[in-house]
Amino acid sequence: MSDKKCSCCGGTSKDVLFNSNLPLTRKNFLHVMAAGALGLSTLAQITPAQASEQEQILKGTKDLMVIDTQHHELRISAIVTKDVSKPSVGEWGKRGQAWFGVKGGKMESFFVFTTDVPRTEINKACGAIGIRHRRQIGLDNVKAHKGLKATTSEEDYLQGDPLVVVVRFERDGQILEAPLESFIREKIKVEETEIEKPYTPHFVYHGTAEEINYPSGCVVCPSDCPGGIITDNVMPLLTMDSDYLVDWDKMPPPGTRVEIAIKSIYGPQPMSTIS
Amino acid sequence: MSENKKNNCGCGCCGTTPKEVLLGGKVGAVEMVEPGMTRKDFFKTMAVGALGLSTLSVLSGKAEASQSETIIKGQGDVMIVDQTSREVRISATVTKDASKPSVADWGRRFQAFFGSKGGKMEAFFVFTTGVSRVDIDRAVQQIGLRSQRQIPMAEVEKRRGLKATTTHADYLDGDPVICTIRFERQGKMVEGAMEDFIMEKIMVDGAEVIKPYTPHFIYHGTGEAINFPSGCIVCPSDCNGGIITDNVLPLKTTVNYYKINWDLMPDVGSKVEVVLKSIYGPQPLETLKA
Repeated sequence: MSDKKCSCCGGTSKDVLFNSNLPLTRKNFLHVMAAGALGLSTLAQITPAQASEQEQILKGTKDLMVIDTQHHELRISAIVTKDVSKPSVGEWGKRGQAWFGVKGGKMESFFVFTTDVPRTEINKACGAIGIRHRRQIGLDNVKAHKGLKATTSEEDYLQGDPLVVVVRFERDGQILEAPLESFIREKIKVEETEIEKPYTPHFVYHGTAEEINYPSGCVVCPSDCPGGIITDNVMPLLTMDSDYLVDWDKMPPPGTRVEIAIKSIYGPQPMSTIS
Repeated sequence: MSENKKNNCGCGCCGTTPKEVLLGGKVGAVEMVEPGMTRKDFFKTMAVGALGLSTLSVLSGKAEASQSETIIKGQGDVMIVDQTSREVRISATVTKDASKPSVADWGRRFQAFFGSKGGKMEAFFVFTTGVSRVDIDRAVQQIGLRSQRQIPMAEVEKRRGLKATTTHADYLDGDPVICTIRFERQGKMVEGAMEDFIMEKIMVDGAEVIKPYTPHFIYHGTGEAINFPSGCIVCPSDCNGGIITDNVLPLKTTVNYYKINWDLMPDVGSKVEVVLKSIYGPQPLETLKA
């Protein structure tokens, strides 16, 4: 550091930098206090940075999952996949296999949204954002519980916290976002006539496949199937009455990268309207 | 002291007036400018300026965060419209009129489970808020929820019920919504989905089957669009008299029975928070940009 005197104030550069040759007057004291107060005032404002600490990023091979514990949701990147030989992909069909699943799973060729984030991690993340399951049904109990019949009871339905599954992607530079059900058509029989209706799933988290270590790779399934971790439980276990068809007019083209968001019933600042 | 008096109450330690101390120099533009800016003052100013400027980026984030919540007050209740989480949180009270269907016994209904005070159907609600439905409808649109199909009252007869001629056009439709109920019990917060507090019964081959209530709630907004003063907000049976409904079955298909599960419900008169969560949320496509 130079000891050369400054031409404008007569101090050295060190004096200027550290203000070392001056006694602490009230004026300087107030300067320091003001600067300090200004600095301290930023601390409260920095708090939102903690919001990003409430996001955990988990990487797969190419995909990643954001676990957002503030908003209690998961965001998982995936790719659009299409194997027309599978039911409901190229033609109307019945199925229990997932719409959204994990690469490497036994049922991978059925999926239309495929991620390489392991299902074990997705299942763990569901727990981390507070989602709870209430009824799991093992594969050895399928026969006793499947189908809607006069003897059906609540025990024949997988159960847990409801979820909304959202699909997001870019088209022509714009973000498109819609629920999973918007991309799937449903057909049911009424008085022996086939009618098409909106797909109206009630997705719940049950977590069975991870519990029984069933390597299907299935994550979000129709038909109350226990082979994944999230399913539509409008009908009892593996009730395959409805036909489905993926709506490729609305779907992003195969190969497109998408984001799947799994939104829970939980969220930030609970009871803020009351307390 | 006398000198201080002479100098208009000059400071005991630096000899300047309180006003000079406050404003950082001798009072008056001429005297402030006259000494010129030394490198020392320049650095001091730069340092304080930089420190001040450094707060701006942080401040804007925070300001947006807090600005992203709007609070709307009703009669004794409040609604928070959270633009970041894209959800609406509304305080309400648990209400019980046992004479209404599904409240104390199994019954068919399309009137809302959650509605606004003063609506024509108020006696049917089990969660009642003082926030007006007009405001709630506006709020759900503000968080991005969109209606896709509204059906006016004049078309009810034509479209109601599940039949061999049913089509898409017979279902109300829009963005799906999750409806959460939160309340405190014995000092602990309890939160569950709206459907957790309601039981459902259907007929299968002539037998009654009790099943979990599995609604697919969507926002359609018809009740407000046609200015129907029911007060209904979240309804079963694909009813068009409110703004959110379960559209698993076509319009006003009242084949299922419902019953409020008072073993799980908070006590009558309890304050609860009803949350309407949308499909939208923070940082869309974040996983694709990383």
